[in-house]
Amino acid sequence: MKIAISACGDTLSAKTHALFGRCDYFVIVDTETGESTALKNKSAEASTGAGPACAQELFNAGVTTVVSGKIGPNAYEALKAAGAGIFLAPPGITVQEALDRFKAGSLSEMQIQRF
Amino acid sequence: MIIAVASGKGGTGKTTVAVSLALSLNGVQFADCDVEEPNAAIFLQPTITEQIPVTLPVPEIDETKCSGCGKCTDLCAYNALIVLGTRVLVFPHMCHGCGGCTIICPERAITEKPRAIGMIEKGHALSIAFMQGTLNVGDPMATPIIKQLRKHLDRSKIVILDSPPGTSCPVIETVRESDFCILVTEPTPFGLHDLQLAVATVRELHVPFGVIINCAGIGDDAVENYCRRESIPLLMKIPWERRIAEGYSRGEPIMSVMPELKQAFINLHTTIAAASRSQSQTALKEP
Repeated sequence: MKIAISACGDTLSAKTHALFGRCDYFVIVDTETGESTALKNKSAEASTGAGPACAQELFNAGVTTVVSGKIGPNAYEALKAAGAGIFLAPPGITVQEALDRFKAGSLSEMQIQRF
Repeated sequence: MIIAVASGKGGTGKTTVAVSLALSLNGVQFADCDVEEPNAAIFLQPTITEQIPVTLPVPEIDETKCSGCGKCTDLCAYNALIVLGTRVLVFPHMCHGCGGCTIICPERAITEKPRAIGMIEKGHALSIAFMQGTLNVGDPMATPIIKQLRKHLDRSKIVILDSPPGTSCPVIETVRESDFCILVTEPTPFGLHDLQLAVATVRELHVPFGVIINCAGIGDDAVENYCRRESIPLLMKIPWERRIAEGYSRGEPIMSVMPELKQAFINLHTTIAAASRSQSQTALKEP
């Protein structure tokens, strides 16, 4: 399973980012091999639709689980359509710590109530 | 002749000036282009006789034809659609309705369907031909409504456009191709800061312009000094008067509480007409 964590840098020791669509990097960890790679967020400066564009990038990279700070309603809709699991992590901890918390099952899954 | 009334900062008196100018002249056309919250109608009390819905063409995907090639998503500058495998997800409220995806799709899987974004209303208030655009609440696409409004402008008349605040797309759409732009500001540091942004914008659009200071008497003289330094004509000063604010809070135009200002607005139009004819900022004399 591939997990993408929105981050301020491109390593496991980078800080987690407060945002999804406007983050600097996604650190992608393959939980089977333990390998990690980083994907620079090309949409960070997009005028609109950064969230959905990121969802598409991550889908193409084979990611099935996303860990991030805030996730907007459009990104949420796109990630759900892509079948991804969405988990919230506080900003400012390390990517490694977010990963550990996810593995320990202590991150909450994001749910949006549509009104 | 088209006169746009704009400002950098919000709440400086655009509508106050636009409405006063309209009420001082005969038989003008007035268009409230602040479609996110049009409020000139509060002061002009128009009778609305016509309502025209405004729609945007947004893509609809035939998934049986879509191959998932992604050409549409690569093209879209606003990320209004994304491809997930062979599935395309459309975000209609992000679509600017350019139609590019429909053209570029090699499978002809995209058709366009109209999405309602707001309304144009036409009517009259006394001798004024009145128009306003209203954007649906929660919708981000203000510019297409202003574009539609502009199609109804009657260039044989004096046309007064009440612009939205700021310097973004809806303002550009309102001010561009006007014969003159009045920039309304207040004599405060905020007023000056945003005026400078607005000046840079109208200069870029090559529209002749001048400044009106509203609430003159508060703040400082930095706006006046700036105008002098930049050779920007100061067209008028509206005094800081409690009775103007009181009238405003009752929905009364400035003329109702200070009829003596009517002549100043008539003179304002004469000055603007001359400035617009000469098409040159430097030809305007300082008042």
